[in-house]
Order: sequence, then C-alpha cells, then structure tokens
Amino acid sequence: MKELFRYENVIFMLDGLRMTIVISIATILLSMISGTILAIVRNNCTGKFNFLSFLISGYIELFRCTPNILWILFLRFFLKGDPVFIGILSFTLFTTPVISEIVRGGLNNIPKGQYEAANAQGFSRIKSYIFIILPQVFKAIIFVLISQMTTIIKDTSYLKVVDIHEFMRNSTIVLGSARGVAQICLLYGFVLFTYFALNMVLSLIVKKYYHRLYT
Amino acid sequence: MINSLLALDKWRHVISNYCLFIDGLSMTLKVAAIGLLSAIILGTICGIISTMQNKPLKIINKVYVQIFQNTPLVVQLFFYYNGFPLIIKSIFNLQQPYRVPKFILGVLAVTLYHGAYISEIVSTGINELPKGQKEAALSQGLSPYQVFIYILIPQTLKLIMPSLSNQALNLLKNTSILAVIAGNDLMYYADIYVSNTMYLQGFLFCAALYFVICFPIALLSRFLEKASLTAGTRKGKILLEDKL
Repeated sequence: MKELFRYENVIFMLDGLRMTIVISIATILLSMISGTILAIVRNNCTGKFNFLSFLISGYIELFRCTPNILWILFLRFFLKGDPVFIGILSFTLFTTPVISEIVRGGLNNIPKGQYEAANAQGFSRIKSYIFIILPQVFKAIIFVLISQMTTIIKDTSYLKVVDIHEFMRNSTIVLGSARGVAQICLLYGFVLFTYFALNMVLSLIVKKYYHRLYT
Repeated sequence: MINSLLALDKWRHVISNYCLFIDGLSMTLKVAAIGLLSAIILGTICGIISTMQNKPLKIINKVYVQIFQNTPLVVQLFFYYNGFPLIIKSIFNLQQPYRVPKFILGVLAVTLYHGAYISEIVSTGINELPKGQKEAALSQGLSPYQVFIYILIPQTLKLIMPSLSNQALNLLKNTSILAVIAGNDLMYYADIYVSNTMYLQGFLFCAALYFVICFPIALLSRFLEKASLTAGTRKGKILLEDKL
C-alpha cells in the first residue's frame, strides 16, 4: 500500500489533476466567449445574413450528434503543435454549441422591453448587449454553466487517448505498478473519489448560492 | 491541410473500406440498444425506489446516483476493464484472470452510468405529478402497485419522454468510449484505420455514420420537447379559462 502511494506517485497524479483543472477552466472561459457570440449572431441575423444562422445551427447539430472523443482524435491528427493547446481547442469546439444553446435560452427569456428601453436610452446594439442584456442573461444561467463545468471535468478524462498529462492518464501510469486486487481497487477508489470531490464542491457551491441569488 | 482532406482518391479508399466501419457500427448499435434497454429498466426501478417512503433504500439509491453522475465514464469503464478480471479470479479461485468480453463491459458501463441519470429523470417526473392523482387512485381502492402501473407510470412517461430521448442520444454517443479499451466499435475501427493509413477521411466518415444514426434521435427529442411545451401551454390555457 505504501509503495503505491509514494510521495512521487502522489505528486505525479496531483500534477495531472492540476492539468485537468487548467484545461477545464480554459475550456469553459473560451467556450463561454465563443458560445455567447454565436448565440447573439444567431438571434440577430435576418434577411441577407440568414445563411449565418443556418450555418450555426448546422454546426450545433453536427456536434450534438457526434461523440466528443472523435473530435479530440481528429484534431490531434489534423493539427500539429502543443498537445495541451490542441486538447483545449477540441474541447472548446464541442463545448461551444452546448454553451451557445444555454445562452440562447437565456437571451430568449429576456423581455423585449429591455432591448427597447436600452435603445431609447441611446445605447447602440452592441453596447446594449454588453451593458444591459448579457449581465442579466449570465445572472440567470450561471448555475447551468457551472453544472456544464462538471461535465467538462468528467470529459477531460477522454484526453488520456491522446496522451495529455492529465489526471486519468497519470493515474493509469501509476496503476502500472499496482499489484493485486486490493491495490487496483484502492487506486481506482482514489481516482473516482478525486473526481467525485471536485464535482461535489461545484454542486455544493451551486446549492449554497442558488438561494442567495434568486430569493 | 485542407487539400489533403479533399483529396478524392483518399475518400475513395475510405469508401472502399466501408466493411470495416459497418462492422464497428453494428457493434455500436448492439451495445447502444442493449445498454439503453437495461439502463431504462434500471433507471425506472431506482427512480421508483427513490419516491418511496423507505429510508435505507432511498439513501442507497441517492449514493448510487451521486457516485455515477459525478465520476467520469472513462474511469468507470477502466475500473471494470482492469478490476473485474482480478476480482472474479480472486472470488472463484481461478488460475488465470477471467477475461470479461468487451461487449459486456461496454453494456455494463453505459447501463450503470445512464441508469443513474434516468433514475433522476424518472423520480423528478413522478414527483412532478400532482399529489391528488395518487390519492384519488388510492381512494378508489387500487393497491399501491396498481397505482404505479395504471396511474403514475403512463402519466410520468408523457412528462419524461423528451429528457429520456436526450439520454438515449447521449448513450449512443457515449458508446464511443469502448474505443479506449479496444472494444471493436465504430470509433475504434475509425481510429485503427486512421493510424494505419493516416487518412483523416476515416474520422470524417465515422462522424458521418454517427451523425446518421444520432440525428433522427436528436430530431425526435426536439420534437417531443416542442410537443410537451405546447401541451403544457394548452393545459395552462384550459386551466386559465376554467378560472375565468
């Protein structure tokens, strides 16, 4: 038992955990930006730019109906460069559609009067989005975004297949030195518990602040 | 980059190797079909348990749902893949580790993972029904078992169909993790093909196949969502008219 949880092994696994957290935070930030832009574009393009909305919904449907692991592998072979960067890029690619749908749901719930009032106060289209609409949207959807974050943390374990040094991959390497049923179960218990704790912390945050924000 | 993706002869090579992909597709569909069926059965049982008054069963169900929802499917699958042969060996005192077929591992992983989600869907569906339904049925002399079969389940089914079809879509997509344990599914064959030939068209062809089988389910879930929304507003209108 002691030789499995040696100091170096634990540090090695926690280093992977750090990478997992970095990747998931970078992904959620990047895809929040791109998802918001896509949602606004999709809601606003009419007439001549109608094809844009068609393109965006095609993109959303395509990534909704194909597995994530496929795009991780595809981008890994397609682009050359830093694997971590490519990992973040592929995660952003398939998280953006989800976030964009969430933001669009939030946008559609904003009463029309808000747009008109902003317009009457002399805000331009872009300024009214930045200062009036989006703050309200993000206040409404923040908890959905956090629960999307748990999905991303879980999905980072896919990055093992392209050999990025994240938590799951590092633990699998440590597993190579495990002997016997007890050690294997213990190590998997540790890995599962870490993911569980990470996600539990996020959902506890949601539970704690949910009432403060809405009641 | 783009040029090599558009090269016609490479596409032709992919299409001529379609047998490989069809093999994988049949495995994916098999795992998805059996996994979905058992996930629905497991999820329904657990969902009904969580709405009962039995405290210990409720706690067990909650622990199951939380554990399986908050840990990655890949880790779960790897645990089954690495742990089960050794566990079975030590239980039955075998000479060598028993190799569990990957088909069964895949079905097991998807069942347990999505069973947790479906259980939550079912229990919220049952809780969403007005309490009067159950009370009225009980007061009519139906046994609790009959209440479930004839009153609660048909109504709940209508409520939860959109989220259930969404889960079916996710389940179909998630069978692709069989590729990480070399489970002979569509994703695995695409990966093999691409690493042998370095033709990235293999991945795009695989994406197209996944899209073809997933898109009808996505359309269905969208349709059901819309139908349940309009049904809800119609009900609301009727209620409003009654009040007026």
